Amino acid sequence: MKYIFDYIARWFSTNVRILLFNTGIAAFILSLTCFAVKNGVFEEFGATKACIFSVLMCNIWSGIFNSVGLFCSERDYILDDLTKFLPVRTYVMGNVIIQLLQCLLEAVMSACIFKLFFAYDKTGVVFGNSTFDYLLTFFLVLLSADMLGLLVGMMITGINSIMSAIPILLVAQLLFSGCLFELNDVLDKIAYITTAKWGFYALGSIADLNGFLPPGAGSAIFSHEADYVLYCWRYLGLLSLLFILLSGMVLYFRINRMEG
Amino acid sequence: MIVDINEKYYGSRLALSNIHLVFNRGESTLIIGTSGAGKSTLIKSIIGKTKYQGFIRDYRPEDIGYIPQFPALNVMENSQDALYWSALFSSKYRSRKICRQMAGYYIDMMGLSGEKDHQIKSLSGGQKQRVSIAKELIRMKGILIADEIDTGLDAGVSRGLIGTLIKITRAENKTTVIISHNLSNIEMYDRVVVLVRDSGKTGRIAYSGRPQNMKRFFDTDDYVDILVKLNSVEENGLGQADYYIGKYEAFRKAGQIL
Repeated sequence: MKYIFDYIARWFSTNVRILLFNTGIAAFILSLTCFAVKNGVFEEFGATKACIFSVLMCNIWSGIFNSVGLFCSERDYILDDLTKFLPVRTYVMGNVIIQLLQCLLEAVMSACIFKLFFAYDKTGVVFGNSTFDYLLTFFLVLLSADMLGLLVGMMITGINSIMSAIPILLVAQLLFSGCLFELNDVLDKIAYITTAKWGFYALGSIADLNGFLPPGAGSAIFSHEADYVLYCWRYLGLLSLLFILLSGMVLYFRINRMEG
Repeated sequence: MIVDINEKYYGSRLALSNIHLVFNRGESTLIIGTSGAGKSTLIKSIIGKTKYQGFIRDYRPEDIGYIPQFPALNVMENSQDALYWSALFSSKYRSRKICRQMAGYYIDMMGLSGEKDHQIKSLSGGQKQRVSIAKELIRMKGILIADEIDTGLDAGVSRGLIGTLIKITRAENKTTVIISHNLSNIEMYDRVVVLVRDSGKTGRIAYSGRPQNMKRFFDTDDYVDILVKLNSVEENGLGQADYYIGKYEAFRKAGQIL
């Protein structure tokens, strides 16, 4: 534990600018998106669904962008440190905590921008106020996407490969969200490990998308119930844990790999 | 540290053969060689990054400190902090205060006092390499392996850097192994190992001994001529590697110390 906080202190001593830059970019992209989609939101089903999907994709992009280049940018010295004295678990857990703070900052910022642009119903599903429901969903979406970015960043070796990987990750999230088209059985199973699916379901439930449709026409995936939202949040949390675990394993094998 | 690598293969290619070396405490050894002779493979074997047939003994793997060719440093940090973190992470028994003091000590030792608060990105190539060396020294390793650390540095900076490392080796009774292409500092070292590629493209030893005996062994007045003799004809050399490998083996078997 001592090393984890020392690692975080070391990271903050030189990288605060990165944290602020990422948050600034995320705020800019989200504001632009909210401005573009604001007409008819929380008044009719189509506009609200499109808005939620767009905001979700912005958060996923921000999450991946936060961390995917992190390992690559410091690879020159961090691989040396990891080989010599920095334990892999310290590095991974240190970065998880740093990214957790980054995601919290961005989630608060996202919730504020969302509140500023849209007049949604303030009655919450899980918390008393829906702003906190949105805030926690944004946080879990950002964290899950961030941890996916961390994992992919550790698997890939060059900045050019990362530039190629980002669109692939985003397109996969876009397709598996279930927003653009109905997923068949096989695709739906794959979608279980995507942030987009659970984030979209959670946001749709909190926004009560079914409430904009005639009675009986709604979908079970947007069930406006606390248990269902908690179920979606649980999946987002589990995805983050899975990506953290895989990141640690990938890095461990990378550090200890021996040539033949 | 005793290195006995009988064979090292990359796939079906024999990369190293018959490498028998002794690295003593308090001594610095220069490893030079022709291109593709296996210098990096030898270093990778010593630091445990590649498999080989044979053994390395009389050392503890955790006692090896490796200084890479390109300084692996966070360029946004200053040199004082870089050393402090290296000291802190290397031993859980050191207090922060001790680590700060150690960082200051090695900053002074490496002649970086004037630049200790400057970001590493603003330092010269030689100064960065000094920070990189100090980062290893502060971890208190008994064996230092330096991989072409003077590449790209001018002759004066290179001599100063190698001189400092050799001085520390003797003062702190360390074992230092330096790979370099720079022959201008050759007489500063205690021992020199020459690795070459034989006619079968396998890395072998053509010389291991005191630098003062090299010119006589290779029948030349110029150190650079040694590499010219050992390089293959395709590389504009004289292609005499096999001859000197045989000559060295004969010396070794006869128990003659070079």
